[in-house]
Amino acid sequence: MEDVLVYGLLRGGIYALAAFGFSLVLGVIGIVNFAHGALVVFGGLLTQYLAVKFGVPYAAAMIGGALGTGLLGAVIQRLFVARTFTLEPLMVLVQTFGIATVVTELGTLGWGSEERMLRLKTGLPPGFMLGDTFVPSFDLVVFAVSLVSAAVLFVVLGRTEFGRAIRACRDNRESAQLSGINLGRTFEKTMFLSGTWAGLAGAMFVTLSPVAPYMHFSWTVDSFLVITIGGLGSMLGALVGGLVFGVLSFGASFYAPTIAPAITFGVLLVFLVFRPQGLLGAGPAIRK
Amino acid sequence: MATASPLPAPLLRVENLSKVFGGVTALNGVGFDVHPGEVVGLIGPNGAGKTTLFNVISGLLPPSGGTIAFCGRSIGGLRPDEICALGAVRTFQSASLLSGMTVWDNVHVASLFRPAERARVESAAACTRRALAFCGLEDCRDEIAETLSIGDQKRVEIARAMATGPKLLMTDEILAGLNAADSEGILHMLQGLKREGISIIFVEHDVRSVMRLSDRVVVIAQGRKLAEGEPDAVARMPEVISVYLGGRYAQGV
Amino acid sequence: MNFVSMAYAIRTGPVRNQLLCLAVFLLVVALCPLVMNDYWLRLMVFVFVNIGLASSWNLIGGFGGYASFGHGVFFGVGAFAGAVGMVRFGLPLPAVMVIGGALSAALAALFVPVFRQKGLYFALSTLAVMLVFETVLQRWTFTRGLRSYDLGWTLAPSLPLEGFFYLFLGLLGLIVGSIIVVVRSKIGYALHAIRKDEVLASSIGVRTTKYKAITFMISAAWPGVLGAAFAPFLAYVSVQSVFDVSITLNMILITIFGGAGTVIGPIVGGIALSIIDQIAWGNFLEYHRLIYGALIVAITTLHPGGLASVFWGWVERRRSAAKPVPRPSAPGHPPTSAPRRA
Ligand SMILES: Nc1ncnc2c1ncn2[C@@H]1O[C@H](COP(=O)(O)OP(=O)(O)OP(=O)(O)O)[C@@H](O)[C@H]1O
Ligand SMILES: [Mg+2]
Repeated sequence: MEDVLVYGLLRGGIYALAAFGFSLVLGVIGIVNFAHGALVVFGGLLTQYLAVKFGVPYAAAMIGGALGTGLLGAVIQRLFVARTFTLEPLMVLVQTFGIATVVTELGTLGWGSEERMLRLKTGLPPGFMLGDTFVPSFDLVVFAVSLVSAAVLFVVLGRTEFGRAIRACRDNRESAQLSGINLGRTFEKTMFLSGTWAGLAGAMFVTLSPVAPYMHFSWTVDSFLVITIGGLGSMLGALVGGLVFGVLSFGASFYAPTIAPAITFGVLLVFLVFRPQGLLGAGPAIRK
Repeated sequence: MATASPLPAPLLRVENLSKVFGGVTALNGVGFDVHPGEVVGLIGPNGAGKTTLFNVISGLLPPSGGTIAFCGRSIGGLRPDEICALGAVRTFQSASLLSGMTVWDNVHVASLFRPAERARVESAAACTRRALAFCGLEDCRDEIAETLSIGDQKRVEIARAMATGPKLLMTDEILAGLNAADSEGILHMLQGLKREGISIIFVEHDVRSVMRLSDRVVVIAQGRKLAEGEPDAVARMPEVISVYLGGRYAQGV
Repeated sequence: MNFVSMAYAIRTGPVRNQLLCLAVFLLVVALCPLVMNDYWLRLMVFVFVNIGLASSWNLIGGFGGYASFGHGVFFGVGAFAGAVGMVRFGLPLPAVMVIGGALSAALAALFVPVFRQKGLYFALSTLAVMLVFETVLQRWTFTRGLRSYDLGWTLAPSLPLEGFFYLFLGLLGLIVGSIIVVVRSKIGYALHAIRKDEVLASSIGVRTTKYKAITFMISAAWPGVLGAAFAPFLAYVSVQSVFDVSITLNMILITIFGGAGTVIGPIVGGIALSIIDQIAWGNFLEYHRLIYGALIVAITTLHPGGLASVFWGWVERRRSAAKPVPRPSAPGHPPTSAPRRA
């Protein structure tokens, strides 16, 4: 029981990190980005590539991977989504799905379809006992880094001019535009932030588990699950949702491995039907 | 006038209604009645909660507290289409025509989905024709609705509301953005509806129109009912003048 | 009467003319077996199934604006109904087709609570339902998902190839015909209003949940029928083969490519993509998925209305060049310019 809780929470940090960007884009631009999982995977593989191929130290590779992914996100926004997102949201779903396919296929062509992992030699002790539970210290470090980067995101959104513009667009697009905010630019920045944190999630995950291009879709779905549980439009919701989802998915695959996906999706449906605003989200928006 | 004669049972009775959004209290214990055939003007500054009141009465938002009774029946918690079928219909503050559809189709949607007992009395096509004729839209029935002038678009919205066969019509700033001639036309139409016995809740920022059309005026500010009474009496209340009317209207009268 | 005004007249004209058009099209296609060998006939069956599936998806996704990302589940359930019904219970093909359609429609009825969700949530809820079903069928011994010694179902083909060709051509006719009728009916009006502005639709009396549910059930029943009929054609049915995500994606892709929310869209899209697919498979097998993805991105970015909007845009320009009058539009036939958010 404690094991499930501890390991679930440790994984949950990364899920939360991946979901921040998904939630941000859904809240600010108003689209579900089906390419989000592809960004997570891209970040992981880019980090692995930088570290293995060029021998870049992990910390630098991680930052490089995250920023590279952010850039990819901004490019996707400028070249593709910006032309479509004012149309029916359905179109953007299909469009970003196509983008996910293209990114994944290009990634496969460039890096191959096999699963890759980045094993770090940290010199840390392997772990310690917390009651009856063995806590691997490296996972703990990754979890701590996740929390710190979440805090960084909170500060960026809450305290900077950049963050204020993004929040203004989220709360009321028309009045943000009237007060001189460039919507197109802000959306690109939003996608950049979203991609950066997705890439960061990938960069950390690749040190714990193998990553391969074909996994992109499950990352998208997981991000969606996280914000459905936590609540749309609140970063704190994504954090809580990530941790809850971590425990839930780890518990499901621990206690009932054969039907684990059915359990997590069942929980998703329960949330969608009975509490669509999630644990911490605001109520559903309605027209003015 | 309406208050002098013995009153029939109210068509709509709102009691102690409140609506809270997260931390914002948009409606706070609002209550008033609307009687059959009566026009109630509803005024209040921006953000007073007028649109929220319509959203709650028309079933788009659940009330946080209080009761709403329509034709003697509690309608809190009913779906919007059920409330529309009972005979309470509203217009929207923002443009709300179905894009890409003709004027005819815009109105016909409402006629098609009337409840069965009304559909038996009059066919959908006849109902649409009558609504278009009433609003003077026969000549442009085949045009795409959003290509019309803004005044005609508002007529389409009223025609559509009429086609549902309402007992109560709630208009949300229907005159906003109209020139004097178009406003006059719409006001005329609303007076015509009143003569047909349809009650109206008339939300409008243009106070002169409100005073002209209404039998009674309700003033709300910050989610609370501030005053209620006959138009002239309300216009003279000092608290109303200070909150909403400013000095100008009072001097003009 | 020239081609432009004829196309326009059919589009805006009475349902009867559209059905007549469909019948002529089907009759022409029915002559194919006279000139085609088995390879091409098999291919045509796949094209019919794809168009039929896409047209069904189009009803809820295109006309209703509710993109189902789990629509493949209805095809899969139909295929399993066909396989289990024919192999385990020895039922004839028509019986399993009816059962497959009914099962899918019943399953769709379970989605009703999900209809309270807005479009995006709906999309992902349907995806979740499909994944749940896939998991369940894969683990359930009744459907032979679990036992490793007889995974899946092997069926004897119950018809000759020509038989399947005409069966699926007939089904396609029924599907498209039913859609033509539905989108011009009261349901079509409801769908149009729901897609443009659901809040408004409910405020003027449209029982939105009811009409979404009816539409979704029709749109689920046809894939169920197709799946049941497809089982003996495929000869081998397993979770892997009939629950593949690509089945759902093909429905969406074909519809969007041809033009969502138009009757003709999935037909045009199905034919065009089959041709592209043939070329891509034949020549660039390795880049097959990449080409597909790039096509999706290109069409959604450059022409979100799909091929149909390119065509109708051309027709409109020719017409307005001839005489500049405003034109009526029927529900179910959105304006040919790119759809705008209401
Ligand atoms: N969906 C919502 N979520 C959160 N707050 C809301 C929502 N709708 C309205 N409000 C708030 O409720 C208050 C009342 O708003 P409402 O739109 O009812 O005012 P109004 O009287 O119609 O104003 P106006 O004259 O500008 O139309 C405002 O403070 C508004 O910000
Ligand atoms: Mg308002």
